[in-house]
Amino acid sequence: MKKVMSILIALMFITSFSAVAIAQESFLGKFEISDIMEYKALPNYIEPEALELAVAKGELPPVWERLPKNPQVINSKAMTDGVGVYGDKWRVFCGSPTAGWNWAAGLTSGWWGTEVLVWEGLVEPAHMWMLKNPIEPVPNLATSWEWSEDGKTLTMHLLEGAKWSDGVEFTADDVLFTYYDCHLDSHIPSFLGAGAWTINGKLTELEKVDKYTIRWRFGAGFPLYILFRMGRYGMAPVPKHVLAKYHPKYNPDATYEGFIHSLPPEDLPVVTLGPWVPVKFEPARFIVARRNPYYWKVDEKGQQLPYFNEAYIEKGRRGITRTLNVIAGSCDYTNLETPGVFSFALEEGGRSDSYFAARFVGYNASFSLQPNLSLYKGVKTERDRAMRELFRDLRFRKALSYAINREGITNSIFPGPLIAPYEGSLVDSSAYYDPDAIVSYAYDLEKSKGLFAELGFKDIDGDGIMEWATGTPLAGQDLTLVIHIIEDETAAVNLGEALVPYLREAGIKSVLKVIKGTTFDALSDSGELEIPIERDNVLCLTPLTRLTDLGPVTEITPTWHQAGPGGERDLFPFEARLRDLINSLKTETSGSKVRETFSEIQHLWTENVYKIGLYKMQVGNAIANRLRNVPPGTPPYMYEWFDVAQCAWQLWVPKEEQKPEILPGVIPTYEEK
Amino acid sequence: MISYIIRRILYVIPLLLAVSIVCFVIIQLPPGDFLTAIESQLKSQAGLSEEESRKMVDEMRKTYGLDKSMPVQYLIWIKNIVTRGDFGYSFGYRKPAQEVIWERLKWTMIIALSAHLISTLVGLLIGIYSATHQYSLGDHLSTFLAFIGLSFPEFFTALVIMYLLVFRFRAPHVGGLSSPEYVLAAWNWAKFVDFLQHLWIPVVISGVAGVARNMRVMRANLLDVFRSQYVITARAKGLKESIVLYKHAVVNALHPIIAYQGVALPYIVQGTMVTAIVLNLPTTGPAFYDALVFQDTLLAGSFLLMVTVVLVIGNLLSDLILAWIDPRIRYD
Repeated sequence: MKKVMSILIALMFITSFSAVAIAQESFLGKFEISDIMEYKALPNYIEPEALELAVAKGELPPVWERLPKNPQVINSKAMTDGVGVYGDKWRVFCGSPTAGWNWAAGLTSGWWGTEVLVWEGLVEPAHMWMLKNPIEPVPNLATSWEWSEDGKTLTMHLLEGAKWSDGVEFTADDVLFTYYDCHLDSHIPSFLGAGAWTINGKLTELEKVDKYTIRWRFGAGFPLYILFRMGRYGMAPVPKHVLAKYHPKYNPDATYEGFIHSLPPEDLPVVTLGPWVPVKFEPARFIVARRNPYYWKVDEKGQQLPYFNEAYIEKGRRGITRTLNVIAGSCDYTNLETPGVFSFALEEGGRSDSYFAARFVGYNASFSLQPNLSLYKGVKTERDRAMRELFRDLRFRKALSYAINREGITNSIFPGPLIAPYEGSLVDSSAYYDPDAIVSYAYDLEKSKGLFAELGFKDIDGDGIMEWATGTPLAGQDLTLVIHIIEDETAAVNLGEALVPYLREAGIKSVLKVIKGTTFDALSDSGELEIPIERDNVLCLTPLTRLTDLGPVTEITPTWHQAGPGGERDLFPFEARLRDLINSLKTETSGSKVRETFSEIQHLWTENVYKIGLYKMQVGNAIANRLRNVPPGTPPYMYEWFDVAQCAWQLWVPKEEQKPEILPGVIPTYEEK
Repeated sequence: MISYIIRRILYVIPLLLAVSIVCFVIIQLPPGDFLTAIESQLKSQAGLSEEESRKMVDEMRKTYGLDKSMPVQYLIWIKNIVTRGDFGYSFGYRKPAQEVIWERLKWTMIIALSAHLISTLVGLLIGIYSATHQYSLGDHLSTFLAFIGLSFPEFFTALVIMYLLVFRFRAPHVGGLSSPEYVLAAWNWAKFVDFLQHLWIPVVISGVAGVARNMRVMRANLLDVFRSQYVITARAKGLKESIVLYKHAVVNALHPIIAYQGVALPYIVQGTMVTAIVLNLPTTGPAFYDALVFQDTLLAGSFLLMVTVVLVIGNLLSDLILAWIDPRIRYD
């Protein structure tokens, strides 16, 4: 009966799911780079009326002077609704505070899509999900690049004539300033420090060849993964002409503290290369950003992008407010990341008068138990040592995997196709997912009990929980797992609660510790987590972008097997093999070889139960129906978040559906400081 | 009376000092500090080694004075407050702590004062009604609603209201204090209506529990007062029931409600924290919560200190009002 009910519920959701699924063909793996965009001059350029007026009044140079010689032209082929019309505002919700606008000094604009306004990378990894062969990112401020024969030198050509939003030209000097004076300066806590730019023990060098050409010199040939660090989250240049005067290297009176905070949130308008320029800010309430008159992307018709004249960022705290406002029709998109919201998002999205559509595009996140295998880090008590020794025994990891009824858990959390049992490999949406490489230790209580018996565990006192065997350090004590979960991860908390009875059925006592994210990170950092439930939407999806986290290639990775003081760590033979495979990927340029290597990695992970997979999930999006040109099939996360991958600069809304702007006609203007 | 006020203010100084020390110590009790999280980020995201990240963070600790011992940090903090009115630096918001508080105080006071006013007035009126109509259907209904109001956690009520507004009443926008189109518009009727459409939710949610509490207190006190000899005498004299009620009974039943005003005042600064988080309000509550969670020491300390100051002032004010309305209370 229970099974029949589950099937019925699943069918119900499949039906409602198909009702809101997109009709357009997905762009996943469909294009060459040239299909998406190219750099070329067009015969005519068009701009919105307000900018035309400013040009007529002599307040702005003509559009062709503001644009580069060869602007980036977004091809209509990669636009589902074609070239758009100007007007309206892009409505975004941001749940974190804005720390400031000096992003090269590690200050965030607030995440949640705000980085799209002002950060532009040398390359654009966000488009990679659309590529037929996603080995290298798509050009952006760097229009093209060439590798030397040995792959140790990379020459990049910058977009000639691109200008910052105050009209000053963007050049190689800005990139060198960002790299040497911000990222590599040991006094500045940038997002990517020297360690991230060191390859084979050699710090990557950068030189200026000419005003529009730079050259990187690496410690190894073809370090493709470093290209991913040159996107907006790793190498978004900052304006040297604005920031140099605050930097102690260029100004003896300046301090590092002053430099880091030289562009506070209220210091507006921001000088940026991005599509919109923040012009108004009120803490905890909003950011209003107006179109950048110098933005360097155009459509095929020659219309300067973005189409939206304005971006409105509502500041808040909880994702649920964003979701509710998408449903209410006053926010343009949200992620659907918790099974708890799937049902009402699907139901509401399926209504004929709904403002949005819910989209799910395949499994793209996973949850696992991660047993700590380290013997030398975070081991404080006898129990810690005993648990680590136990976790290191493959028989225990297998027994635990056999003990977990994943089907039961997924059915109890959200029956239907949006979550499914997971074995600890990559997930289906990953370009490198290989189901044939996976070794599965699916639910089998008999096998689990057999392995536990082999390990000496037995329920002596008849309370249903197995005890440690005589002669072991914890003899007579219940077999107890302490499972840490981040409190904000509602899905993980629900999963933990669903897991407890299944573990108990297998004779294991579990203690759930739901803690704050900051505490979780601190415990993870010090190697003190015992066997936490972790959510992953990067490693299992786009492993190339975070290679070092895949196995024991640095002292602090993977987080569940960190090295102790002096680098001490007892690697299993399979881990040594993992390390070699990961290191080989750092310089691999052949797509088929990369795929082959990831197959082997998945095999090693699952065969050795490196982490105990629980379930995989289709994280989805709710996207306002009024938006045109959202690339169909855009994943919530793949290489970059949906905030970026939806290509906000090419979104538009038909005239009859447009909403009023907050600051109509306002053009960012700058005063000399 | 002036000497009474001066004496009370002088008593407050050692109290504030003691409270500030306790606040400062409690906030620093958990292991690590705000920069521990930055150190972790430098290692995991920026790719720095343990040694490099520790060196950079130690340098930042030196800049912010976090390398000094706790007593020295406290003395510097309190000295700057007394001599310069400088409450220190918020690491989380990267600006002076007082700026973070002030920029959120306006909205906090509007919401909290509105909620407080409504809860007091409505609570009193229902309490008076309940007491004068004891055991009637209206009394039972108000008592039942009061228990419901007291029992429902505010954050839950907030979620339910937001859900109903979006799913049942198709509200165009929820959370915050205005719809996007009005954030920078000049004040006009449409903006005012939009503001009220957002404001009533936190005011009602925060006010409901207060209404229930005030109603119960007023009802119980008034019933007690009704049994007093002076009320019986007033009725025996043949005074009109409204004069007995409002001139003799209600005034004397108000004491606990007035005394409570002093305790309620800090809430006006602190705001309803969890409701504000759920409803996405730009008030002080969520900033205080973050300061505690992320060990933003000086900001959290400043909040606690301000709440204490307001509590002390509130108690002083309520004592003065009580003395004013009841001649039996003396300053000595």
